[in-house]
Amino acid sequence: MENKNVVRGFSLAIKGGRSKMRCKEVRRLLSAFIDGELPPEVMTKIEEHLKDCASCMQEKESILASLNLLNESIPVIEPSPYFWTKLKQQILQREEKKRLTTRIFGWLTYKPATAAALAAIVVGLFLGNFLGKALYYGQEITKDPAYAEALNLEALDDFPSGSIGEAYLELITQGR
Amino acid sequence: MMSVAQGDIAAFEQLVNKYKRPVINVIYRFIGRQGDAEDLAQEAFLRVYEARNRYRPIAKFSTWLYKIVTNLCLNYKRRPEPLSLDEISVNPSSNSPTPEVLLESEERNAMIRAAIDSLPRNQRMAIILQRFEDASYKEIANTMGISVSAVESLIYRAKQTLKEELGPLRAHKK
Repeated sequence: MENKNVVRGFSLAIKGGRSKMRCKEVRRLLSAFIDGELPPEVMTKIEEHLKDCASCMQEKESILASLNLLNESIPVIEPSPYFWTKLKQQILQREEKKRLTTRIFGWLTYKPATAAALAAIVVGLFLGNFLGKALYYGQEITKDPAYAEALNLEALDDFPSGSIGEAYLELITQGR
Repeated sequence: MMSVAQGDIAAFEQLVNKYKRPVINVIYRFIGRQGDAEDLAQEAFLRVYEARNRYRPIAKFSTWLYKIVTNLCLNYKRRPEPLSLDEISVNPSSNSPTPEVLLESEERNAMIRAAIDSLPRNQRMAIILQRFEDASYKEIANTMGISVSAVESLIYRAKQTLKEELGPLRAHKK
């Protein structure tokens, strides 16, 4: 019985065989006594104690008076007449938002292979875009005359006629 | 609630109409602001509706509902707005009160509100559920996800604090 928890450690009056409870025990249990949350035998013991103990009775009355002040001062408020209308509107708005989200992204949760394929396409597009830009800029650079000059591509042209270079080349290629 | 779980919004409307008043009042007693209480109540019911497919009739529906309400209250952060006079309640039993009586009543209610606000949130929720909703310690334990002895301890300490804070008002009343 859950009320055993409430009187745990304080049921000495019954276990110890004493007929009367001590004030310290009663005061600790007064809150649960007022709320009717004690076993019947403990309730009876406390009632008997209160009949003979003005101090504990005063304590009980003080607690009750404070609680009654709460009841007296805090009014019961009525819900707004538009409570349901406003709530229904919010429900419909949230449901609509959920439907849109499901329509756009919901199928991804049901087709993981498709989601993976889509992710691969996105990654591929990104990489392709990146590489393409790199190649484009590379081509743009090679069109620049300054670039060609820097590489000294003229070195690849044939030797001019009558030059030492031409004579040398002819010499080393004779007999091949 | 089982009809609601199948998406029946008409059934949900019935549920809301049945519980909106106690839910709003539990929240209002906890946070002390009527406007915010309605907003939080709306959020509580929205969460109930969104979680409808997960509801299992193992425990009472009200326990499940108040669990959601409790979580919202415990996580509530008060907006930095000054209290309006409308939010300071007037003793309903007064008949054509004089300005002095009104002022005294407002001050008294403000003191009582301050006493409630001084309670730690767990104590505040436990005492509100017990005092205003007639919930048993076991029901409060289920709602708050704690043991019955923990509920007893929370309520005991809450009552001790209220007794000390409201002592002057009790004396004045006599």
